[in-house]
Amino acid sequence: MSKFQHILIIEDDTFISELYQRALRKSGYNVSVALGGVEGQTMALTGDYDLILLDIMVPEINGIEILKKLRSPSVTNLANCKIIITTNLDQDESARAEVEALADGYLIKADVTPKKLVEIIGQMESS
Amino acid sequence: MFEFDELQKQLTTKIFMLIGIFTVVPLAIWLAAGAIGISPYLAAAIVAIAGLGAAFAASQKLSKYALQPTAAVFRALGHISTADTSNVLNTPPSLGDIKFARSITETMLHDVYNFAAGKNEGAIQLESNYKLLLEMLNLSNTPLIALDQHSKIIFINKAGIGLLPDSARLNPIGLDFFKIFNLDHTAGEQDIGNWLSGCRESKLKESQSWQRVALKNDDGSFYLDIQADYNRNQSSGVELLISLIDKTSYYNEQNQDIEFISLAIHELRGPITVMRGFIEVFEDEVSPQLNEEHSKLMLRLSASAKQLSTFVRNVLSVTRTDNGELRLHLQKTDWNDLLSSISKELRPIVESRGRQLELQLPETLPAVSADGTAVYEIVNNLIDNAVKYSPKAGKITIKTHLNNDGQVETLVADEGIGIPDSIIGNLFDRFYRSHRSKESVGGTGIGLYLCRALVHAHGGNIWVHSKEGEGSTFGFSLNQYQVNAGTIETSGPKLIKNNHGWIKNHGSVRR
Repeated sequence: MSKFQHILIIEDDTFISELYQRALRKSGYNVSVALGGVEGQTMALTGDYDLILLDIMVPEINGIEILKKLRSPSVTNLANCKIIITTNLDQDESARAEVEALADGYLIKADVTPKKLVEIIGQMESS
Repeated sequence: MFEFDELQKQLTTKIFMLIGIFTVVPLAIWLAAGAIGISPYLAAAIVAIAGLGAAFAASQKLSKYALQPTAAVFRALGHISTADTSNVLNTPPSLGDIKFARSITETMLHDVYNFAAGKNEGAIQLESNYKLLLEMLNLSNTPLIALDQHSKIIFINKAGIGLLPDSARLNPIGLDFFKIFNLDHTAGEQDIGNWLSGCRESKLKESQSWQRVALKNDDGSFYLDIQADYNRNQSSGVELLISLIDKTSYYNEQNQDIEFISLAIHELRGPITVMRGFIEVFEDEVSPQLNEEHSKLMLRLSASAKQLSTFVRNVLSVTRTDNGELRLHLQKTDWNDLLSSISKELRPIVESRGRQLELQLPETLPAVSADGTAVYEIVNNLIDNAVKYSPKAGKITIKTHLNNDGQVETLVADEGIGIPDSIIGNLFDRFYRSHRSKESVGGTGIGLYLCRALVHAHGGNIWVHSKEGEGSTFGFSLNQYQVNAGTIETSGPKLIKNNHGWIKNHGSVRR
C-alpha cells in the first residue's frame, strides 16, 4: 500500500477536526473536512479519497449508516479507500460484527492523540 | 396376633384323629365281620366303602380346615397385588364355612382387606397429589425443565414451553435441550453444557447458577437467571433439573443504565480528546522554548490528561463487568510485542511521577490468547497501583515467563510499602480501599476489581504476594493460544487491538 494522498475527515466537533487536520496536513496529507453526516456522505461518494476518518456520532445520520452506504457494492469510487471509525463511543456490541466487517479500524478518540493517529495511518500505509 | 403354636397343636391333633379313623374303623369292621361270620369278600367290600367314606370325610375336613382358609387368604392378597389389576376390592367372604383356625384366618383376612382398602385410598390420594403438583408446576411462571442423562427433555412445564421455539412447542419431550435453547452466557463463564459434562465425569450431586444469560427465540430476546441441579442415577431418570428465571425487564433496566453511562462517557471523552490533542501540540511546538521546570510541568499535564482518559475507560469497563456485559475478543497474541507496546505507552507516565519502569522479557514465549485492549487495562491498573504505593525513584518491574502449568505468567513488582496480611484477602473486591490509602493515596477502588474481572474473563488467574515494607508483586497468568485456539475467531482479517481500539491487519505478515 502506497502513501495516502487524500484524506476525508467526517467529524462534527470543530476542535477535534481542527486538531486532526493540523496533524495530518503537517504530515503531508491533503485533507478535506465535513462537519455533518449528509455533507460527509456526499463528499465521500463524489470525491477521490484514500482514507476516511468517520465519526459515529455525527448529526443527521448515524455513522454506521454512512459506513454501510459507503461500503455498498454499488459504490465503486471507494473500493480502495480505507475507512477508520473515529469515535468516543465504545463499540456497541450489537453493531460490532457489522463494523468489523466493513471498517478498517476503530479508534477511541480520547485515547488517540493526533500524533498517534498519524502513526497508525503510517502503519496502515505500510501494511 | 397369630398364635402359631396353638395352630400347630390343633393341626397335629386333627391329623392324628384322621389317621386313627383310617386305621381303627376298617380294623373294627374286619374283626366284626369275622366274628359274625360274613364272607371275607363282603367284609372287604364293606371295609373299602367305609374307607372311601372316611377319605371323603377327611378331604372335607382338610378343605375346610386348610385349603379354604389358604385360598381365602390368597384371594385377599390378590386385592393388594399390583400384578392383578382386574381385582376389584370388595367385602371379605363369609367365614361361616371356614371351620379351622377361623379366628386366626378371620383376623388375617380383615387385616389384609383393611390394608388393601387403605392402599386404595392411598393410590387415589397419590393420583390427586400428582395432579395438584402438575397444576402447580404449570401455574408457576418459572420455567422448569428436567433432562435425562442424554440431555433430552423428559419434563417441561407450561412456562418452559413458552420459551421454546415455535417448532418445538407441540411435542418437546425427547428433544435435546442444548439444540433448542440458544443460550449466550457472559464472557469467561463456564456454560451449562460444559458444566454438565464436568458433572457427568466426576460428580454425584452438584448445583450451579448463572446470571444474565441471554436467550433468543421466535418471540424476541430474553435475559434469564438459571439454576441447575445435577443428580446422577436417579430412579426417576431426571439427571438435571433446570429452573430458568425470566429477568428480562430487570436486565433491560440495567442496560439503560449502561447506555446512560456510555453516553455520559462519550461526552466526557470529547473535551479529553481536545485537551490531550492540544497538550500534544504544545509539547511538540512550544516545548523546545520552555525551560526545564516548564517542560516538567508540561509532562505532568500530559500524563494527567492520559490518566483521566484511562479512568474514564475504567468506569465504563466496571459498569459493563457489574452488568455482565463484559465481552472479550480473544486473539492469537505475541505477548512480548504486546507488553513492549504497553510499556512504551506507560513509561512516560511512570517517569513523570518519579518512578522507573523496567521490562524484562524472555527471548521466546508461546503465543497467548488475549484481548489487547483488556490486557492494556490490566497492566495499566497494576502499574498505576505500583506507582501509588512506591517511594520516589522506586523501581517497578514487569516480568513474564512460561510457568509450570503451561500458562504465560506476568508479574508487576514494586519496592513499595507492601500490603498487610489482614487486608490482602479484600484487595480484589469492588470499591475496596484500605484505611491508610484512603488517607494518603487517591483512587476509587475499582482498579484491582477490574483487573480480576478481565483476567478471569480470559480464563486466567490473578494473585498478589506482598511483605510489608518490602513491596508487592501482582501476578496474572493467561492461557497459551494453542489451549483454546479452537474457540477463537479466526475468520476474516486479524484485528490488531491495543489501548485505543483496533486496526485491521490486511498484510499477510505482521510487523
